[in-house]
Amino acid sequence: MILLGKGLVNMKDINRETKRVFKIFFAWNEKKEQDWLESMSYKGWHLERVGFMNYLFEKGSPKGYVYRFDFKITFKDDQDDYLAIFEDLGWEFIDRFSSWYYFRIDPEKQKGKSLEIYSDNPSLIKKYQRLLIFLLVVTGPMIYFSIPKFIERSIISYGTSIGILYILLTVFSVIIEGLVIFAIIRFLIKITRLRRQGKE
Amino acid sequence: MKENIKGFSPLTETTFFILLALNEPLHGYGIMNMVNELSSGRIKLGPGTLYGALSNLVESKLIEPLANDKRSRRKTYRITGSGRKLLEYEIKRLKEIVKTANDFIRKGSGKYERYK
Repeated sequence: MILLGKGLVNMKDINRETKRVFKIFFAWNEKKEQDWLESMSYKGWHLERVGFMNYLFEKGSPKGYVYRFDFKITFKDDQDDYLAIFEDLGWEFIDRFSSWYYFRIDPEKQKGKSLEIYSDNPSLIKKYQRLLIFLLVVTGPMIYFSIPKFIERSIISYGTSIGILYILLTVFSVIIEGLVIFAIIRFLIKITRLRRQGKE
Repeated sequence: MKENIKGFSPLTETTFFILLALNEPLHGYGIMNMVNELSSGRIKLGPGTLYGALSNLVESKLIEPLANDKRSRRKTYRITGSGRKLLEYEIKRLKEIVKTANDFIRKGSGKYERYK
């Protein structure tokens, strides 16, 4: 029986069909990413791993999974407690990419449960505040110190091959800075909207 | 101590019900069901909200994880002495609100003539 069981597992491994999809989503556009993952699950492609701009799916039977993402920065070692609560409430942890945690729930199997991981406004506002602080603390100083340096160096070494490198770096960091500022504005708007709704 | 507790008031509805549910030791799943029942089905707890509330409440020493449960993945929580004090303070506050509102609606606003 045990041998047979093992054999079946191996067979399943061989038959496992996976595919990797490259796609960019921005943090302020969670809904778009959720909807895309949900539409993939209707086609039988279920998320397995999340990487930088890429997603690994495994083929299975079509399902109506609902996907949600949480943003969590921890200084204490409480990831086990954290994941245990999600699991306890019927959510499956899929993968973690940087500080983003990917979860899904099967609404068919978990009837009557919240399909949102944040079920009241104050806690959702806190999630966006964590994101804002992260953007300001981590990317803020990096941009502040790097951009002027790149600009200065690209002016000094203009015309040389190093100059071209610095110009490219300058353009690149200006784009990143633009995105970060845009993200900060989007999150501020989100928080303000949630606050105005005022409901719990 | 008492002043400290007033600082947590008013609790959000979700936090209030979680604290109330933890009058008896419960783990995550139990809290979710209990809160749902206590709120007549109005509150369906999401895991992000529950995790945030639990860690805040533990940090404020209003609830505590049970000691004999440390090795288990699922933690069981229960209310502490200060948690109970806060709960009583909140119940008193809510009672007053309901009484005032009820009197105002049923007995009329005659008492408040001077503000009109």
